[in-house]
Amino acid sequence: MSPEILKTITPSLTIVFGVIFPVLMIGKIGAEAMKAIGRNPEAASKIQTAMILAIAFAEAIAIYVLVVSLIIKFT
Amino acid sequence: MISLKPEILFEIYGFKVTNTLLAGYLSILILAVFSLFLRKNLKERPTKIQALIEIIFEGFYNFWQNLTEIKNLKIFVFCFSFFIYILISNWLGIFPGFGSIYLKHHQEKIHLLRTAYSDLNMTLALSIISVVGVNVVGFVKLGFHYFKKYLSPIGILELFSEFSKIISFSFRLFGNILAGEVLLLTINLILPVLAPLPFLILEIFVGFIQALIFFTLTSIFLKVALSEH
Repeated sequence: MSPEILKTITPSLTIVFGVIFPVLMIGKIGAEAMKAIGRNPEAASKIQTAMILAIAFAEAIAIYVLVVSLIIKFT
Repeated sequence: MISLKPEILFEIYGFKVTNTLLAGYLSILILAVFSLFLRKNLKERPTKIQALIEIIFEGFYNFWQNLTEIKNLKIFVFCFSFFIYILISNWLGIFPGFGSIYLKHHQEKIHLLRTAYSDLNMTLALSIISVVGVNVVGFVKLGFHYFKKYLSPIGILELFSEFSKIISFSFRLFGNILAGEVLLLTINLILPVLAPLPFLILEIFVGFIQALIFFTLTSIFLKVALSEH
């Protein structure tokens, strides 16, 4: 395949495969946090704070994938 | 059109001034003017603006004290200034009229102002300040005993982890804000009439959440650094 075709397909394939795991894990974090809140509604605000933090860490990996694909596309 | 690097506007003795730097200075100017105006009109019985700022400040101070058990107000101000600066810079980027001023530069148009944190240099600077500042605060409070935690074999790994924190802080903020800018640019090219509205709401939300994440992560690393093993 010629370089132009590769340069068009590669960013999309990068995002498609790179985002699967962060998305699954963010869903899992949310689900476990909801289970924990259901068991112990008094500690809801602490659990919520920790959940937002964990989601930010997981999302950061997806953002790295996005940055790599933007670099491939635009340079 | 969509470029990862910020556009250089002019040079002063070899120092390149970019449009994101101008936007950063603009948000500092807004914050400084607002704070000076607030400080001159401090009263015992608060006016509405002063009451609002007091609610926000106390709310964040209580949240911070529940998160880290530190009672020092100066350390809170160190973390809170990150939050306010990132928040105002992000929200200024989607303010109407911000991206509308163009400069003509070698037969092409470039924006005069661009969201400050869509530039990897700005976010890298902020994350270096944060990580080095946390270590400096630990050193001031605990003395040379603070560096003992880096001397064991697990400690060497923690030293590498500090560098990875710098990378992860900067790329998280850079990626989120750049993605928001690219998204808004693309939507404005396709359908500029009503479709940008949900994306603008998303940008407001993402700007706030990223500032909050930076603030919370810095506080947690401070709490870990100040706790004596």
